[in-house]
Amino acid sequence: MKLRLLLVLFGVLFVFSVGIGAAQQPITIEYWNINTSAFGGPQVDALIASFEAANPDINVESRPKDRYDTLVQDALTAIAGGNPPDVVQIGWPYLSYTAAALPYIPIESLIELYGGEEVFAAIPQNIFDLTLVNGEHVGLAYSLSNAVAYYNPALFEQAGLDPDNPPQTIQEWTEAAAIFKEALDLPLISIDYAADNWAIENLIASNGGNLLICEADGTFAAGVDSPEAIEALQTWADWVANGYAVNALDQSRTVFWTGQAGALFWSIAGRGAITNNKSFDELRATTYPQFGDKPTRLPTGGNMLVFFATDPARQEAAWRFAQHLVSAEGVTEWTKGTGYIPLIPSLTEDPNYLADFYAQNPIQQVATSQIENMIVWTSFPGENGLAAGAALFRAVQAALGGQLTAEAALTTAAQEINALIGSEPCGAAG
Amino acid sequence: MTASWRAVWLSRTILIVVSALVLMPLVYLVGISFKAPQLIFANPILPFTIPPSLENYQAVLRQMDIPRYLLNSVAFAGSVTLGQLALAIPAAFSFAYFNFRFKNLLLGLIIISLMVPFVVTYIPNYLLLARWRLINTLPGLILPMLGISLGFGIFLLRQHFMSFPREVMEAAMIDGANSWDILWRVLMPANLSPVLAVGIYVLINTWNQFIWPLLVGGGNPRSYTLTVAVQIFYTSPEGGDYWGAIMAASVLTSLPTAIIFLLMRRRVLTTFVDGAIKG
Amino acid sequence: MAVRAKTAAAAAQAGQTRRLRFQKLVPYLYIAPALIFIFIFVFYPLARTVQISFYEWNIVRDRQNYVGLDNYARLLADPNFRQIIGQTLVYLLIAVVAVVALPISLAFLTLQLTDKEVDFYQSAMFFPTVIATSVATLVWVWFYLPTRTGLFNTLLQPFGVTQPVQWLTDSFTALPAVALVANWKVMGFHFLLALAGLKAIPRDYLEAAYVDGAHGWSLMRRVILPLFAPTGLFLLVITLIQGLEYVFVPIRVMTLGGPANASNNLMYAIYQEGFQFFRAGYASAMSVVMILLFGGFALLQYRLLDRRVHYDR
Repeated sequence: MKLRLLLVLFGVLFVFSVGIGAAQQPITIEYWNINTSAFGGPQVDALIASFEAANPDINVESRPKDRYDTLVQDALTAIAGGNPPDVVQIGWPYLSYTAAALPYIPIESLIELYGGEEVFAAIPQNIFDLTLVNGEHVGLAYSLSNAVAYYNPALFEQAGLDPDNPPQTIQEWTEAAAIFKEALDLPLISIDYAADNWAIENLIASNGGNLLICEADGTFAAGVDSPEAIEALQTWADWVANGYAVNALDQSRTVFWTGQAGALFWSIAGRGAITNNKSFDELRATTYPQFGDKPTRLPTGGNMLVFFATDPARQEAAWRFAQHLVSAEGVTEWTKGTGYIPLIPSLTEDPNYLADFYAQNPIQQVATSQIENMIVWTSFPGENGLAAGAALFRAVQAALGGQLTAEAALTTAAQEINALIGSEPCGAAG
Repeated sequence: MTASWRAVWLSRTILIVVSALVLMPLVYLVGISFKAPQLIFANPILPFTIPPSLENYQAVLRQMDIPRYLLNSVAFAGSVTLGQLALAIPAAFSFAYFNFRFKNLLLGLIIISLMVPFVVTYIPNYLLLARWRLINTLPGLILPMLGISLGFGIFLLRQHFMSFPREVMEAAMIDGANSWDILWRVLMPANLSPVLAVGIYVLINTWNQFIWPLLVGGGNPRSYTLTVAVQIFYTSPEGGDYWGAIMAASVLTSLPTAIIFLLMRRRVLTTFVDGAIKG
Repeated sequence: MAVRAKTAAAAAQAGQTRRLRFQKLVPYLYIAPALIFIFIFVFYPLARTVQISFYEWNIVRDRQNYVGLDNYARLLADPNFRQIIGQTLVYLLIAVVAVVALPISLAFLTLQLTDKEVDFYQSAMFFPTVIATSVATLVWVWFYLPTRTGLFNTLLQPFGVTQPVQWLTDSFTALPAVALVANWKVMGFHFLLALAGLKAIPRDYLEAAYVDGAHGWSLMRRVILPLFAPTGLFLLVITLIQGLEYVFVPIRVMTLGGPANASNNLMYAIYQEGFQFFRAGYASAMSVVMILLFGGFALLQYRLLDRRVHYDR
């Protein structure tokens, strides 16, 4: 074995690796999303295909990532590397961070440069304005979801609960969980939660609390140590401690669809995924539980489309693609395949689009019935915002694991969050 | 050594039990990949269902562009292995054969480079590659890996080269051979086994890299390695967890390294054993 | 033959003076390519890490705020950081048991067995080393499912554990669960090293000790450990550090460092700060602290190795 041979072999492989990356089309834009083949991937492919058929001059490549945080992470690093993605699905909790730290192209500039205003006329103003930070639209509102309580009617029946009258309040869920556990020795509830704090915000906000408050001096402060927030987290922690709820992080969904828990509190966006994966026949859903008679307040899940393309030709191509995604046809395909609430609510009554689909999908109607309860998903402001979110996530885990009481955990979290974001001024973002 | 049969059997039992425990996860990995999707949770203790089902493999091959990622993994791991060998062999030879100033210092530096955890240099290496526009390209994955952990190969090969009888090399020298010839004509033929073993070790380790390829190549399917592709395609917080398909994809990913190991097992194992003794 | 040797020797002598100056450079030329790569991808980035640790920066911005030692001050005041340092030590301690004590004990058991038999155990235990950690971790996730259908919970049921253990979200079990995966993965490699060390000990030496009445633990302590100690030390220190890297993937895939940092360690925390919270300065300060901790190891190692190099020559 000669060095020369080694070097030649190495050279061949190396050049080959350079070659693999070479071939590129004239106008190819990259669409970064979280739609892996297991979640919305087929719909993205279909939407790209219909767009390309109408726009033969543009090629769209889909780049699915496994979650919102890696998506933002990769977008950030790609931008740092001087090769920004053209259009990215940014999850709502990253709104403030995107506004503060990323070189996005505001929707105002895109409309001014390339038009398209009329396409957005169908989107209700309050939804369109979800992306508004400091007087500018950071991105284009796209996927909307809210939390519902999915349940397994067969297990309900086995446990002696009435599947036609599922619990509606937190108190009723607690009582039902006690009966369920007594009968089947299984936890009734599984709550899907992640580092994005969506699950805990659903509970805290529905109990009347807020993750962030705007102080009198014009700066943000953490609201997570309010009595409402503490009560909300303690309720969940007690469920776990009593065996009423399973504490399964990433496995929460597996627990539910293998029949090891009776109910799953999760996004309507996952309707398609549960339907495909569940091991039982019938799936039903009801509204997210209320604390007493307080109306629920549900942070809007999903994402917006944010544009980073710097090259004008790619900017325009990305902009045209986005218009296709939010068109009546695009929204219809998207809702059917995933479960997201349509960006254009009137489509649910339009027989040309979603009317039939809604008539056959009572679960989808549950989510639509909650539209009035939707609020903005809190994102912590400033460049330390993501670290602040992690502090809250730690508190949730500590309380659910029984290491700390909800009060102790959230008090610590509030201090940590205030140290990280305390000097950020309150603007239009919330 | 005289040992009672009782002691022998006790040792044997313990070793068999430990080996079985160590292999158990792999048995399940393979087993679940052949379970029909609806039977995966039917009986968790039994790793196999009868008859085995190919459904998971069909799903994986349908949904993932396996040949492309396989090609990427081969290019990535192959380049790193050959590149590291090309760099390590001469260096190891120099340390084993010559006496020169700063030798211990330089050797020390190389060993210290092994003590620097990869994660510490993630950010600067990433920025370096970004400046060279190599993010999401295979060369971007490959280049840093040529410096990181290179010291391991240098050190191990040096141990083997040092144990080679000096007289043979000196005799060749007297015959007019220069050091270059000695390295390639005398030392290498006698040390093919350890070189191959180090190569295989680097190959397996590189093939199995996950975080770095995810960070640098995870932005584009063009540069996904198999380990990255498996993770990206089958885990999603809002998506399904296809356990059977996950296992099938994992088996496919592991197959090449497992086969190489099974074929080259003896060479790899004895090199490390001898290398450690000589060290 | 003799004549040829004579002329060759003379020629070599004449050439030697001519080549003397070039000869002096040769050893360095052989090393240079390797060193260049190591400097570009290890030492230069290391220096950059130290530099970035004095700034507040998110990687994307052109502007980097110089903050002096602020990052370090914040680090030392952060209780989370203290917890993470503590857990890093716990991980190392577990690794010492799992990749030092256990493999040596197992290797000791092979003394009375035939080589062929040992070869089988060796291969079996080495096998996980060959499988990608990211891939192997997925099967462990399945083992750890927090339901009655999870394998481990199923196995525990006959022993009266009827409430399924929530392995990955319980603060008591998360760290051991993650560590088990990592150590399972590397144990075989260390078993191999232990066997190697054992083989290096002359058999008659062992026989003699055996006849002298040294059995079991005393044989181990008096004969085997002292002889084994220098042999695997280099590989040991490095693989301990690598051991922390091996935990990285299971943490990333199974617990994300949680619950509430309960399974976090320094390496993962650096990754989190740098690539999830985008605080490059803070992450770099953590990196520097970690290097200083490992620097102790490295220094010790270098001194030991230095002595051995002199032995060799």
